[in-house]
Order: sequence, then structure tokens, then C-alpha cells
Amino acid sequence: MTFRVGISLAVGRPDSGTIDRVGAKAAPAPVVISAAGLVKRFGQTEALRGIDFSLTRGEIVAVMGPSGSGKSTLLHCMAGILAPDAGTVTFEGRQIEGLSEAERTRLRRTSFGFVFQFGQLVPELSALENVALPLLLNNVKRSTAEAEAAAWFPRLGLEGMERRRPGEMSGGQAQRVAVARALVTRPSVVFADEPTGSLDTIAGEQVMELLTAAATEQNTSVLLVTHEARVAAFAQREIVVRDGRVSGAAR
Amino acid sequence: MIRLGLRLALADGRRSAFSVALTAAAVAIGTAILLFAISFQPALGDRDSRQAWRQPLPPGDAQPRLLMAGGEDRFAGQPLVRIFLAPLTADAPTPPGLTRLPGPGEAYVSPALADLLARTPADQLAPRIGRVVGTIGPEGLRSPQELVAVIGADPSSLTGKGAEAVTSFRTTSLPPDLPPAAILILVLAVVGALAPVAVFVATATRMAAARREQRLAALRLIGATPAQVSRLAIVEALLYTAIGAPAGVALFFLARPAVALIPLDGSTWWPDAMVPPIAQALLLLVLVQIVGAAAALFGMRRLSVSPLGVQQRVTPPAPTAWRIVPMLAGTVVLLGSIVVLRGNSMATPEPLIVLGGSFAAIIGGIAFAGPWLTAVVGRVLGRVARGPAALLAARRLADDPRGSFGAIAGVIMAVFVASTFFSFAAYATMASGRWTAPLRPGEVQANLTSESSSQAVTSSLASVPGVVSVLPVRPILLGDIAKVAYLAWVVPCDKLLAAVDLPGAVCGGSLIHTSSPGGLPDATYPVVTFDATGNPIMPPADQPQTELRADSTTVSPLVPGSSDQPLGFPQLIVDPSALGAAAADLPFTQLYVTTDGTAAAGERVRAAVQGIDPWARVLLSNDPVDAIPQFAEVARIVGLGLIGSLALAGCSLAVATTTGLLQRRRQFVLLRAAGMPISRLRALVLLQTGVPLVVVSTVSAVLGVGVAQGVLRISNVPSVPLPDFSLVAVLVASLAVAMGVVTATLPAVDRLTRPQSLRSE
Repeated sequence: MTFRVGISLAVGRPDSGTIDRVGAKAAPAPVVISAAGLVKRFGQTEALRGIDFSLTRGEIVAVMGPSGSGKSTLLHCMAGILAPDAGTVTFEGRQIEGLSEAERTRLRRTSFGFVFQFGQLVPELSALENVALPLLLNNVKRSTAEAEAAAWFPRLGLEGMERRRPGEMSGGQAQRVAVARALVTRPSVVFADEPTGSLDTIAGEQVMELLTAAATEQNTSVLLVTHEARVAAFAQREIVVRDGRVSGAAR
Repeated sequence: MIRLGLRLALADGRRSAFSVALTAAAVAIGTAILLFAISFQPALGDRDSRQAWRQPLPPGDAQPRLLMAGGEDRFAGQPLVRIFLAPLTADAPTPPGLTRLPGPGEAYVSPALADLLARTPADQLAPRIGRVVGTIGPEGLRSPQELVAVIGADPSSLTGKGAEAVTSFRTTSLPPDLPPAAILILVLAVVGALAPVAVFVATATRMAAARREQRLAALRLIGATPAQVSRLAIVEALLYTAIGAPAGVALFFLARPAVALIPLDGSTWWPDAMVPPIAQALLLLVLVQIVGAAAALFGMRRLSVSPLGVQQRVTPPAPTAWRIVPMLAGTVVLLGSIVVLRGNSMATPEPLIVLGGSFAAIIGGIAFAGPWLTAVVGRVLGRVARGPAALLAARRLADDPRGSFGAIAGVIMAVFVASTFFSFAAYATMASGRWTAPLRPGEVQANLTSESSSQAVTSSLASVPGVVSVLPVRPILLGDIAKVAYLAWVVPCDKLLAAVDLPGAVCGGSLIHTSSPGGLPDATYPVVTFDATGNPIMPPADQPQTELRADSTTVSPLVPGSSDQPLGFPQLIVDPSALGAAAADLPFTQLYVTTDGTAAAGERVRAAVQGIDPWARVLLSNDPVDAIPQFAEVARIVGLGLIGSLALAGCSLAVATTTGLLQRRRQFVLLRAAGMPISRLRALVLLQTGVPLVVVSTVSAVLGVGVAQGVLRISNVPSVPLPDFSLVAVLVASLAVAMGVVTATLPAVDRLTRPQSLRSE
């Protein structure tokens, strides 16, 4: 199976302060996850100052902004990693800040996927085992998990590299493995925090093409945090965060 | 360079300070333990010197000035030393710790005994001591808790009581008369105890190494030379040891009063006697610095190869099976050297160096083979793993067997040392014949020093509260036709059975020898044996074991008051009528007393007997009796060392687990952020430590028992016992403690890997 690479044409619901990439209005897709009035403080610093934001099913949204603007904090609050000081995050109709730590952990494991800038692959595990890891965490039988993981490798363009360790792969190859790991459980939302931050242009584009194409095929929403316009261009719409607020449309 | 090194080491704020403090604390603990180790010999020497005066110095040609008699006694199970002194001349010497010699009936007592006298009812202890006129100073006491009484006496009363003539008191102790096997065990104990200390210090210095390597690799990248980087590493390592070593000295002095309370050979210690020899102590403090710097340089080897240093991450080469060779070679050398040195005296250091060295080689061999075994465990676990925790643990073990083994190395070595010593201890226990008095609760046996006192003692005991019956007996040795001597009591059968509960015994039956006109009858008799608690074991009637014939049987009375007088019940009972007129000449020198079974009644009997016959030996049930006390003493030293080793190994494990966690913190934080439950992470930490711990410990224990068995068998020891259940108990306990230590780090696992900390990663 091969993936259609390039920009997905799936259309998002226009929001205040956002711009639809293609401008064509379509039937509104259901909202998967949304934030309302999010506030997060670290000591004296107010990282988020009342953010409203939502993501529809299958939508790919880029969050842009300069360093320290609060975009990663927004991602962490949306994913249930950080608890906001005020405001709510609603995932499929449930407010996640009311959930216990164990419930939020289960939610992240079963409904979310994550791609970080680097270092997320377990160095002792092979590429195949790294991809199978979320399935194993969901109590899938090891042989089944590894078979499902193996099916990803032709798509990743990494056929024959299943037994390699992350240290034996290039940065781009390792990030493609990380993308497969984020999507292998067919999550509702993938949170990607600077997924191409440590890659060159070509490797970065390959990773983004893989991420957006695979997410689109699985109808998985993607919240993409980046400060690179080239990367943000892969998203269907963008929001810009500045000083803890959505400051408007990027495009 | 020094200032830069210090700035780099402390640049990371609180995290650096924590790391420096923890590593320095580990170095301090290691230093303090080594200081205690080198203080042990002087403390032991001091203890022996303080009691040296109790071993009489042969007067030679000089005129005796004093008679000294006495020895060990007990109160409520505790040893009680009573020494009788009778001056022969006006210038008789005074023992250390006393201001003058006590007069007849007077006594100087140790502070602990004075305290005990004040707390104990008068009829249980005071008659054994006499009138207290002063306390003995520290210079005459082995330990602060020792129960000692120096009692004044008339020279005439000491005659025939085994008293020795003294001209002056000994001031230095005789060298301990340890059997060669005991010396061997001690040498091996010292070597074995040092291994966990070395592991602990190495683990501690590795703790900060991961971050240091990253920092210094970054310096290499910007052009620092390997020599500059090494100097920075040494400065940083010296920071830990320069803080840790003096802190270790402080810790030594702080812990000394508590350590002095640990009894050895029944005595605690004078804290101020625990002083390390100054030259050795200074050398130790210097060595700690050198070892710290050497460890840092050793850790820099990877960085010297490449500025990328630790940042490279590929599959490292797996340890090969060749790693097991040094361990096997050490075993062969140890067993071989015992074959060669068999029969040699252990008085010269060479054989001990060879034996100690080869034992150290085995311990080193375990440390070298451990990573290979760990990798094998990892590969096997990797194949059978089903869940993510087991898979991650397996891959980690196979990927970093050196690091994974490093975490458990201390426990593994302690297990080897434990297995070896418990095997030796089982032999030592067997060889020492340590037993308790073979009496049942409520039974008291008094061995009097003369027949003259027996009547007075017997009538005095009749009025002692708690005494049920008193049976005077004549102990003899009865030789059968094969000239085998059996301990026998000459006592009327009916009186004996009325006083003593001897199940299965009947007067006139085969077990009780009854009267026969004209002397001992020609017949065969079963020999009664007694178990450890004093219960008779009656042999089957069809198995006679001794044959007595009138013409070849000998009867010898036991020498009263001699230390050869056997304890406990006899093997044969002889009715006086069987010996005819000869029975009347045999002295009553033993009393068999039954009481209500209370400890107070037992002590009252002891006080009443010794009030009349001060040198009588009175035994209560469960009074310990050591045939060869040195073995028991060595076993205790080894036991103490072992507890220390295990405690230290536990500390190493905790430090290593925390270090491993800190090194992989980002990975765990990201995994938890991606939804890995904390329970799986805990399982991972426990599996990663527990699986190799159990497997390698088992190998280590089998090797330890095997080595000890080999050593003893080659040494021509007649029979070699397997270690008893206590070894299994100690091994299970040590593994449980080790896993307990790892479990104790789990809250830290939780705290350090919270997904919320992703922001700072």
C-alpha cells in the first residue's frame, strides 16, 4: 500500500482567528477536541491567557508562534499532560481535566498519539518493536502487535530496517518510525510537537508528508506545533499564538 | 582549570548540588566503613589488653605475691566473671581499675554489675559477690557492659581451687590462639567485605558521570584536548572525594558510640578504643582521592576516543562467554593452592596471601562474568517476554549488561560471600561443638568443688523458694570391657526416679542397673544418650552397647571442681549396692536440683550454692557451652561483616537504580506522556533489577557453596556439612531487602518521570 503524499484536501471548520487553507467551505465535521478559556501559569509567568480552540475530526491544524509564546503548553494542556489553571478541554464530549491521572494516561494511550522533536524512540528496542510498543501497552499479543507494526514499514519507506536500532538510523528515518508509532493504534488525535525541528528540509518534508497522509487516511486529527512556515503549510489551517493568546490568523 | 572544573560541576544549580551531595555522601559512607574496618584490630587489641590482667603471668623464680582463682559464670544467661584474689604478701599487686585489693568477703564490681545488683533481689545474686566496696575502672574492664566482680579471699580458702600464684599482672594480652581454619575464614571475610565497599564507591562515582560525560563531550566538540577534559573530570571527581572523605571521618566519629554497642563475643566496645592507626587512616584518605580520580579518568576513556562521546547510540558489542574464564581460573587457583599448601602452617603470611588473593580473584571474576550472564538473561527474557515491561527490561539488559549488572553487583558479591561463609560457618559450628547445657527447664546441676560442702549446700537448698527436690549424686567414669569410659551416676534408683523424669526408665529393668551381691554383675547394658534439651533417648532393648564384667570393669570418681567434669545426665545409672562397699568411698560432688522452672528460682539456687561453695559451677538449662569458642567468635565476626556487606550492597543498588533512572529520564517522561501507565514503568524497573538479581544470585550462591565445599574437602576435613537453612533464609532475606530497596525507589520513579516535567526536558 502506498500513501498519497502532499497536502490533504480535507477541510476544517473556520474558526475565529483562523483561516481555511483552501477557502472552500464544506459540511462541518464533528469537533473532536476543544479548549475553552485555557489559562496556564508557571509561577509568575502566564503561559496561556484564555485560549479558545477546537479541532474537528480528521482536521490538521498548525499552531504557530515564536519561542515561548505558549504553543507547546497549549499542546500539553490539550493532550492532558498538563492540567490548566482555568478553562476546560473537552475530548469527544468529556472534560479531561476532571479525569484522574490514570484515566488521562489511558486516554493518551488509547485515543492520542504523540510525535516529539527527538528522543522518543526507546534506544534499546528495534524500529519494529518501537512501533509495536503502543499496541503492547494496550495489551495486544506480541506477535499480533509486531505483525501490525511490520505492515507500516513499506509505507515508511523503511522496508528491511525493521531490526535496526534508532541509533543506527538517520534522524529522518527515526522520525518516520515515530510517526508510525503515533498512528499505529489508530488514535483520534495526534499531537506533534516540532516533529521536524531536528531535521533538514527534505527529511522534514518526508516526515510531514507521511504524517499528514497517514492521518488523513485514518481520519485522525493532527495538532501540529511548529515555528516553521514550511511545516505549517502541510496543515489545513493555522492559528498563531503570541503571549499566551491566539493572536489571529496566520493566513 | 580547577576553577572552571568546579564551575562546571556546580553549574546546574540544585540538580548539581543534589548530585554532588549524594555522591559525596556515598564516598563518606564508604570512607567511614573503611575507617571502622581498620579500627577493628586496635579495638580488639585494646579490649584484650584491658582484660590481660586476668590471665596470670607465671611467677617463674620470683616469689608469689597473690593467689588468683575464678572464671566464667552466668547470670540470666549473661556471662558473669568472678575473680577471687588472696594477697600473700603486703606488697601484693592491685589489678588495673581497682584502688586497692578487696579484703575477704569484699568485692569490687563493674558499673554494669553494680547496676544489676541494685535491680536484682538479694537472694538471686548478692551472695555470689559479697559486700561491694567499690567499682572497677574502665582500664580493668573488657567492655562497658561487662559483668565483673573482683572478690577478696583468704589464701587458705583458695588452696586446691585451681588458684594460680601471681607476682605481677600482665599488661598486654596473649596473641589470640585462633585455629588456622579460623584465620583462613577471617582473611576471606576481609577480602569479601571489601568487595561491596569497592562496588559502592564505584557506583557512587558513576552516579554523576552521565551528565558529566555529556558536559565534557560538549567541551571536546568545541576543541578541548583530551588532557584538558581529563583534568576537568579529575577536578570534578576530587570535588566529591574532597567533601566525602572528611565527611566520612566525621561520620566515623558520629557513628562510633552506636557501633560500639554492637556486641562481639558477648561484649560491646569502649568507643574511644575504636581508633584507626593514624598512618593507615591518612593513607586511606589519600587512597580515596586517588581512587576517585582514577574512576573519573576511567570513565573518560570513551570521550577521549570521540568528541561525540556518549551521544552516539548504536548496538554495543555484547560481552562474550570468555568473561567467565577469570572466575573459573580463580576457583581452580584457590582449590589448587589449598592442595599445594595443605598441611602448611598458617602462621606465615604467604599462604594466606595466596588464598586471600585467589578468593579475591573469584570475586573479581564474578564482577567480570556478571555482564555476560546478565546479557544471557536479557536475551532469554527478550524471547519469552509478552508484555512491554518485560520486553523493555529484556532489551535493556541485553543492550547494557554492564550497567545493569553494575546496579546489582554489590548484592551479587555479598551473596557469594554469604554462601561461602555460611558453608564455613556450618563446618565451624559442627567443629566447635557448641551446645547448650543438656538440661530441661526447671533442672539445675551443680558441680561442687569438695564433698565437704555438699551437705551444707543440700540443706541450704531445702529452704530456697522454688526448689522442688535436691538429689546428691556421685559421678564416676565406668570403664567397660573394651576400656570405653562412660559417665555414670552412683545413686539409689528409687531416689533418682522420684527426682528425675526419665521416660521409659524402670527400677530393676534393663536401663537401671540394680544391685547384685558381690559387685557389678556380668551383663550388657544399653547406653542412654541425651538430646540437646536433656531428654533421654532410650535405645532399643535389643541393641546393647556396653558390656560390664566384674573382672574388667573400672570405676573412677571424677575429680571435684575440675573443668573435665562432664555436664548433664550420665549415660549409665549405677545403684550404690552394685558397687558394694566401694560405693561409700565415692564422694558426693554433684547435685541434681529441680525447681519450679522460673528463672528466679534458678538464680536463687546458683546464689545459694556459690554462697557456700564460691567456686562451684552451676548450670541452668540453656546455659551456652562452647567447646572451641574461637570458631563461634569467628562465625560472629563473619556474620557481622556480612550484615554490613548486605547493607552496603543495598545502598549501592538504591544509588545505581536512581542513577539509571536519571540517565533515562527523558525517555521515561516521553513514554509516560504517550500513555505508558506508571504501573508498567514500575514493573519495568522491578523486572530489570529482579530478574538478573535472582538468576545471577543463584549462580553466585551455588559457586559460593561449591568453593567452600571444595576448600573444606581438599583440606581433609573429615565430614563437610552443607549449609543449613539459615543460608537460604539469609539469601532470601537479602534478595527481599534488595528488592525492597528497589521498591523504595519507585516513588522517585514516579516523581522523576511525571509527564508534566516534559516541559523542562
